[in-house]
Amino acid sequence: MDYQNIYFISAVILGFYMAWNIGANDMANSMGSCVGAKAVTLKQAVFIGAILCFFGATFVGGQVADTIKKGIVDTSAINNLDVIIKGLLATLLAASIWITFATWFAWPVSTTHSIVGALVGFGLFVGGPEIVNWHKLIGVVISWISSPVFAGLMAFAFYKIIERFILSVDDSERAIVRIGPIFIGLTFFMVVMSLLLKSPLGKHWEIGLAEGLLYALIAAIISGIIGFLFVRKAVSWGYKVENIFRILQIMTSCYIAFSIGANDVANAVGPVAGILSIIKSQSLQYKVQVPVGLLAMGGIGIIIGMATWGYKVIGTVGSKITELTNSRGFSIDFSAATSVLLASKMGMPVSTTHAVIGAVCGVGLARGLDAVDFRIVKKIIISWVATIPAAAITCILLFKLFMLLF
Amino acid sequence: MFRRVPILSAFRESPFDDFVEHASKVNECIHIWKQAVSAYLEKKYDIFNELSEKVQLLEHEADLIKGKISAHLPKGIYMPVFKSDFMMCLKEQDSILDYAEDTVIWLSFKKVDMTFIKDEVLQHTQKVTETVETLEKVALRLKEFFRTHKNATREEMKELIKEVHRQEWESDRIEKALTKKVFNSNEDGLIVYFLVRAISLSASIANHAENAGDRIRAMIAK
Repeated sequence: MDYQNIYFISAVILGFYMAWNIGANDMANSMGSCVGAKAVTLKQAVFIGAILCFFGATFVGGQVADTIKKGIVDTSAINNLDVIIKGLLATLLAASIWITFATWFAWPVSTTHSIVGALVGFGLFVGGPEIVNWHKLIGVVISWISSPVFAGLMAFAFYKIIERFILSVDDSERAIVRIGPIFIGLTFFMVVMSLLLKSPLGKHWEIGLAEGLLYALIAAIISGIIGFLFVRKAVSWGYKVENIFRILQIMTSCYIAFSIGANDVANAVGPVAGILSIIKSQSLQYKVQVPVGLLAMGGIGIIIGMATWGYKVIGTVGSKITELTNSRGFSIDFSAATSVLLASKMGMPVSTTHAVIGAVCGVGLARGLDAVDFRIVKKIIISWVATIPAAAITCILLFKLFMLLF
Repeated sequence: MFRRVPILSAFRESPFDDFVEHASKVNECIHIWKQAVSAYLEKKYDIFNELSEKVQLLEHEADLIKGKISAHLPKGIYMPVFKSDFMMCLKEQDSILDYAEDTVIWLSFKKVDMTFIKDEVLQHTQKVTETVETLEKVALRLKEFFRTHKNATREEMKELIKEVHRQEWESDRIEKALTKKVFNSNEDGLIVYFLVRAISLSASIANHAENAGDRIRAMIAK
């Protein structure tokens, strides 16, 4: 077997391992609140995750993926393609090991941040500080802080609106008939926007900003009207406010799984696609077409990660979150998914896990949760500081090992 | 194991569940306390001792719940109310049991014939028990209130707290009349001291129920 085959098989295995990590970490963290609030069962969460994550990856962010996340490292300065392949392999493995390690110790580490950290390590080791794009790195770091803050602010406002206009009024069921459809419309507005703007689908149909907004608005109005009829019927059948929010939270669960697919699958398949393109064309582009087979592999990896590790860790906690009602869960999930989708549309590599935690804190600050442990924020900050050097050092060590082995 | 999902470790167990359990324990204990005082008045001292033991046991159980609540609310936990208000309310609720326990322990020190004030004492214990019963009704609505923040629930709780105030005021009136009657009786000084202190300990139960109600009112204020 020649080296190219070894590289190819290794890349696929490591990409799969990375996807498994996304399922165990990001998916588990993101779907945790849906399961905790009993909006969906564990099996449903895995099922929803599987289907929508795959759709998200395929239609929104997956087909064209970054090989070098955000061009953090200028690989054109490295003339040796063999070194780049080994660097990408080391990046994937280092980021994956760090995530597995962090997930075991319950550190809220981001898959995206780990990839960036590992790439920085590779860049520094091979080409020195001058090939690391520090400006981009600072921009990336700022986006890490801004996305949970934005999700938190949004969740705060969203929950306050729900409390003021639905939960606290005497006839909450009547109130949700009026306001629930707006939430449904908003969700569809965001989903359609993310499908059509800066996406492969949008490019294929040549849809610009104004056109995309118009279609999203039409989708929002239609779904709002259907939602109104549905919610009105549900209330007449005796559904209570939290039952309606349960349905809305299921919608947002789909939305979250979709946004993880849109953002995070690229972490696993991007470097693999990069290695494949080097093997095929003997050159590396920053953005490459990802074969459908590779996307499917990423999707399957996420599903297995969710079904093996994520499944167990969410399952044990379901009954413990007694105070997490569907209205709170909906506020958390909707805000987190929206902030991640908006950030990804602006080209910022953000963490779904951190956005969800930001949203939990937002609802907590809005006095919506009986008890929130804000020490989780400290953990996030530590993870921000630790992830880059930890992933970078691991990547350097692995890269040296690969250079010795092959 | 669940700690491995960081997002889920951000959610802590609701302290309001334990708070309601504590309130129910207090109510249960006060009913036993009332029966114990009745047994003492009837000079059924064996039954009194048995019930007195139960009061002390329930006080201990409530203490454990209080300890559990404190342990689950370390620094860094954010609640929909000021943690200090919540803990003060719990302390006041706990003081109800401290005084119930003190009363039965005090009565156990000496066997005194209270026939001449029996009706008033029964009336007083009844009123004191009512304040705690009403307080439990308020506590039971607390969790529901923080789930919905409904104005109707807030108003209902405020009305119940007013009722606790009224019942405490009535218990105060009975206490004063009772104390006056004891001081004006022909009993010797030791008996008078024993009875006045027993009455005062019982009255403290209603006072702390009222204080707990006031703390809850502060927690639900707009």
